[in-house]
Amino acid sequence: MTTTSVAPVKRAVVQALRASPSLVSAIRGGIHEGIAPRKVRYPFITYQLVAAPYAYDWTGMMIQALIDVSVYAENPVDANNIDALVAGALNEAGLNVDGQTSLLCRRVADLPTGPDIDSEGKRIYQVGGSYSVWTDQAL
Amino acid sequence: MISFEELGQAILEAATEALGEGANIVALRAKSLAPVRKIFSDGGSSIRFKMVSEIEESRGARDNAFRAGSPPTVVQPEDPTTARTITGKRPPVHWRERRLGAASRLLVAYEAEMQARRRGYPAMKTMLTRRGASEVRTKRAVFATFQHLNVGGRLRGEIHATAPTLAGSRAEAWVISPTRYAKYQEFGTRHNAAHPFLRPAAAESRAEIVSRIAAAVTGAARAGSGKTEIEIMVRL
Repeated sequence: MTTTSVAPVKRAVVQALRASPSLVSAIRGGIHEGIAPRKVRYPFITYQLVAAPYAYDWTGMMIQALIDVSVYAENPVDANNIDALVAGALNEAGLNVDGQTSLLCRRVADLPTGPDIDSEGKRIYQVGGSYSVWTDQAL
Repeated sequence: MISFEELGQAILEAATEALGEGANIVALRAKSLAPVRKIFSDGGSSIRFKMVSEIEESRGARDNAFRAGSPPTVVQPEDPTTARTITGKRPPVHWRERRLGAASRLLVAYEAEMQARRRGYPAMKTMLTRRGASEVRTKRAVFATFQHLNVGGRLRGEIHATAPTLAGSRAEAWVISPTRYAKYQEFGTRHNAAHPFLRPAAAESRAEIVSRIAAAVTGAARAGSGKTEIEIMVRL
C-alpha cells in the first residue's frame, strides 16, 4: 500500500488559505513557501514546514505536521489583522488532504518574531503562528 | 515498607531524571539539525588516480617507442582537462576539518589554486568555497569549542540542555539555544528562510521522552513495591 507524504498537507493548508476571500483580497503579495521573492509587494504570507514526524500503528500512519504561517506587512495593524484572518481560516479547519484523513488543524503557538528592517530601509512587521495539522492514512 | 509520600517522591525523582535524559536527547538532535555556516564546496578534492589500463597503455607506448629505436622523447601527459576525474562527492563534514588550523591549510591550497587559474591553468576543484575562503581569511565566524578554534558552528556549539529541576509535582528541563541569531534561524525572517532545528528536535523526540519517563516511573513504582496509577503529561 502506498502512503502519501506531507506534501498534500501543505497543499491543503494553502487551499484553505486561498478559500478565504477576505484573506486573499488582503494579501497583495500572495502566499509563498519558505521565503518570498525580493520584489514581492507587502503584505504577503509565507508558510514553512517545521516538523512532520510519522506515527505508525498496526493499521495506519499518522502525520503530525507543524507548520509556521507568517504574515509580513508594512504596519503592525495590517500584520495582526491578516494574522487573525489566517487563524480564522486554519484554526479548527477541516482540511481536504489528498489520500489522508484530516484529524486536526489547530493553532498551537504564536511566533515570537518582531519588526525587521527591509533592504530599502522600511520597517517590516512579521506576525504569525504555528499550526499543528494531524492527518491519518491507512497502510 | 515505604509510605505513599515516599513512593510518590521516588517516582517523581525518577521521572525528573528521565526528563533530564530526554532533554539531552533533544539537545543532541537539535545539534544535528542546526544549520552550520557552509564553507566547503560540494565536490571533493580532484585527485587524479590513473587506472591500471591507463598505466599499462602508457608503459606499452614507451616500450614500443624504445624498441623501434626512436630517439628518447618526452611522453606528453594526458590533457589536464580530459584527464581529470571526479573522485566522488566527499564534502568535508568532520569537525576536525572545521578547525582553524585545518581550514587554514585548505585556504593555502585555495589561494594556490586561484593563483594557478590567474596564470591560465585549467580550473581544479577546491575544498573551500569562495565564501568559505573569505570566512577562513577574515576569521569572523571563529568559535571555540573544547579548546579548539572552529570556523563556524557557533549556533550548533551553544545548544545545551539545562539540568532538570523538580518543584512540587512539576519537573522542568530546558533545551536552550542562546545564540543571538538562533531565533532568526528557527523562525525565519523577511530575508532568510527558516531553518528550524529546536522544534523538529522536540517533535521527533516526543515519543522517546514519554517512553523513557514511563519506564522510569514504572521502575520506581516497582522498586517501592506499590501499585499506583500516575498520569504523565509531557509538554514539549
